Amino acid sequence: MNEQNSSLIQRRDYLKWMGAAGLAATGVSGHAQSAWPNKPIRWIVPFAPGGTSSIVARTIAAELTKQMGVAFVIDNKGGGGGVPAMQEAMRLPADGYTIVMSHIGLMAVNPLIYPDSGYDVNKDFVPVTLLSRVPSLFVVHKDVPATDMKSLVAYVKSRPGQLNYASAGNASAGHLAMEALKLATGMFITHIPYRGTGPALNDVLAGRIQLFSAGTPALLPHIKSGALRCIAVGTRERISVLPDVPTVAELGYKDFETVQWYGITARAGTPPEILLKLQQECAKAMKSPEVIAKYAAESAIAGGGPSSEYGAFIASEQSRWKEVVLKAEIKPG
Amino acid sequence: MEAFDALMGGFAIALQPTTLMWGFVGCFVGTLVGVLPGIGPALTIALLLPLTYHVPATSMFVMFAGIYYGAAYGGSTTSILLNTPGESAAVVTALEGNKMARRGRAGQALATAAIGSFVAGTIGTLALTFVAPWVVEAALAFGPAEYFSLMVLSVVAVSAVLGNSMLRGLVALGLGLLLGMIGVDLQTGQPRFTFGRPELLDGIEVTVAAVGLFAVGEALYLAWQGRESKTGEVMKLSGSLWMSKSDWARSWKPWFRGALFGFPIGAMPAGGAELPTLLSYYTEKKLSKHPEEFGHGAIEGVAGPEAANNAAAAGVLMPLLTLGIPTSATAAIMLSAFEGYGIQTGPQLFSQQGSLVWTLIASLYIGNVILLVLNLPLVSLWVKLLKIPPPWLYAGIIVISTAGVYGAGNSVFNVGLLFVFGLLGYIMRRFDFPAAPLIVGLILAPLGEQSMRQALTISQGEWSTFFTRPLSGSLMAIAALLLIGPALWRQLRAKTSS
Repeated sequence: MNEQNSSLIQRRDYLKWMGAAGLAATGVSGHAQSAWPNKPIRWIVPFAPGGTSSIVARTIAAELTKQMGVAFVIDNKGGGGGVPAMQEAMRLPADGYTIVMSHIGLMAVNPLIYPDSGYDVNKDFVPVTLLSRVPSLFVVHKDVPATDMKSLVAYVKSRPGQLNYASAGNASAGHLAMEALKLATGMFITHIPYRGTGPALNDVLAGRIQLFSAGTPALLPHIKSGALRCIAVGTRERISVLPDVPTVAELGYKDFETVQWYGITARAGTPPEILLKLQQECAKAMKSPEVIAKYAAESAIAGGGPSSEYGAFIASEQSRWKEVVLKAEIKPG
Repeated sequence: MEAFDALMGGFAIALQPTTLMWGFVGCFVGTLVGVLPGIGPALTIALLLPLTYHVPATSMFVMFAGIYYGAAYGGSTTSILLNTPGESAAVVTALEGNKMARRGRAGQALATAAIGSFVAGTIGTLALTFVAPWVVEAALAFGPAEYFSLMVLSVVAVSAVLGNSMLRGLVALGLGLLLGMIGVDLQTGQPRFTFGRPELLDGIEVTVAAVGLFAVGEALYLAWQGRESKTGEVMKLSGSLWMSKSDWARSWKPWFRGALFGFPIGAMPAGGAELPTLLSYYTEKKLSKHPEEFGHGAIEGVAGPEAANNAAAAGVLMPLLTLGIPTSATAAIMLSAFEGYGIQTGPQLFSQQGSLVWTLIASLYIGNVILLVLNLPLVSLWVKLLKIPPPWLYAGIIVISTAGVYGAGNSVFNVGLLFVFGLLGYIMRRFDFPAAPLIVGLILAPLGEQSMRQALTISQGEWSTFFTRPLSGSLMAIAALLLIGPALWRQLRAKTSS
């Protein structure tokens, strides 16, 4: 349902920016017609609007538009686990005027669960830069008699298979994070998938579901109100909004890291100087007050590093999640 | 009365001339765009929200309330006049509304829809003001088992929309249920009936199916008939446009009952606006003193579902404001609008940003009143739509539907799907199969299956969970009673009389 209703905003923006770009183009028509970028850049976001990903994309797009003088137009193309969005990108030329917002599902999970998608994320696409990492939290309902990870694991192990955890759907970031935690701790708890974070959160708040993992924006208000208790965070270091909550790694589960991340990916074959320029502009955008404020509100960690760094990060995430997906037998959804 | 004082403070902020002007703009635009098929409230709000960033927060709220309720109301207009619901929640309105229009009572149908929307919208907003915490608590009590029982109850209620032939109606319902199975199996992640198309992984969009079956199907059907255009009008209008005394008498109870269905179900995370319209229609058909008129233009069948639809629109705001959970596409768009104004929805909303929230709620009241003031005069304007020669009118509907469906998902695939459903709608019309059960099936199948399997997973396979949980058990009992009650009653009566 929420995949619809997106794109007219973008269409409107697009037209507006096309107009603006047209005006700008007449002003500078004497020179630099061929230099990239000289027309609006389409930024495909493989999600419905409104979520964390859109907020990240919109904030950065606004900055890039300001910095580079051409519009970065967000094109929300949700649904199908992001496969249709990537297929759309495959149909467009690798000229730097189409970029894709890449994320954990698109880059690290889809290749394993959608083998027939018609593209190879590592061969047909190249990394540009990492934009943000959003910490994932592990929360329990307030009535669950566990205050820390140790007592939680003991509690779940005393009731194998009888307790449940919710997720926003099969192969969602929260599902992966929970399966990773299950593998690390050896607990047996049943997965109940929902259609989106909202419905899942509802049943967790009602206490029908005991355990849940999602990103900070959806969970923080309920942790503050006391309805949910945060047991651990999935990042390597503790996060500033929840300074008293330990990371899973420091609880003895070495190398454990689950974050939701978002970056920019382009078609393979895009000229390297364009990729470099885009990455540098993104790094610059990370330092703008608007981006810093938005990131702080979501407790997101800024990116902007070189594309080789993002490539290495994707590769490490691919190997991390390959193990989880194969062991937990995760399928699409 | 703390809430009351706070609300008055909200009114003081919202009731200023420029603010009211934005309210009128919002209501007008909301209604106008809500009227267009394929462009539902979600799309309307998404389309118009960027505009609102250019006005101050309070003006934006009033305008926004107008858009929100206006779009929810606007969907009924084309349902009634042209049998082309612009959104799935208006499908039930088309059943009786269009029959009324065909009998020359378009004005009355539009009027009862407008006033009913006002009444229900106001009841919903009142409930939002004063009973929000309790309703939220109650909505939280609705888990997968309760949803499944509600679905079972809804399947019983489908009997009201089956049409003249039970067999044909059930065939349509079965087809809808089967089409609802398309997509990824939520529990195991197995794709079903997707034929390798990633576009089908999330299932068939109800809006696409509804607009295809009704709007495109209707246009194709008229094209096939090819003769209705002799007079140059789609249909004749006769008599007064205004509601008679008996229309009022037959409308006011359905308005209230519709609101009672719409608000709580709208407030549930997976409730939506479609189920309450169906349940309201069923109730009105059962309670009506003129059950024989149903299927031929009973005013209760417009008043109830329209009220339910608008009350559900108010109900949706409840989990959004108090829990930060968007329960519909529209709500998801609104959430990003709130975020744009720095409003963090959730448990602390009322304590932390009280004045903004109360301004918003006051705006909802004002929006409702403006909508009524605006829409009653518009009734005579809307019925003039019927004077447009059908070839132009229906060609326009096809263009707008196509544009709306394409715009909603940026998907060429969905446009193809729209016309497949249009063709199906034509065939069903041609051979007298009702289309409404198909839409209901398409809505019920995924929801019902998902909640059943979630409930069974939570209960570790115990089917008794549907009967032992008090709420769920009660719903099941009501469903059973409605299903076998009438038959038993008849038998009992036959025995005692013989």
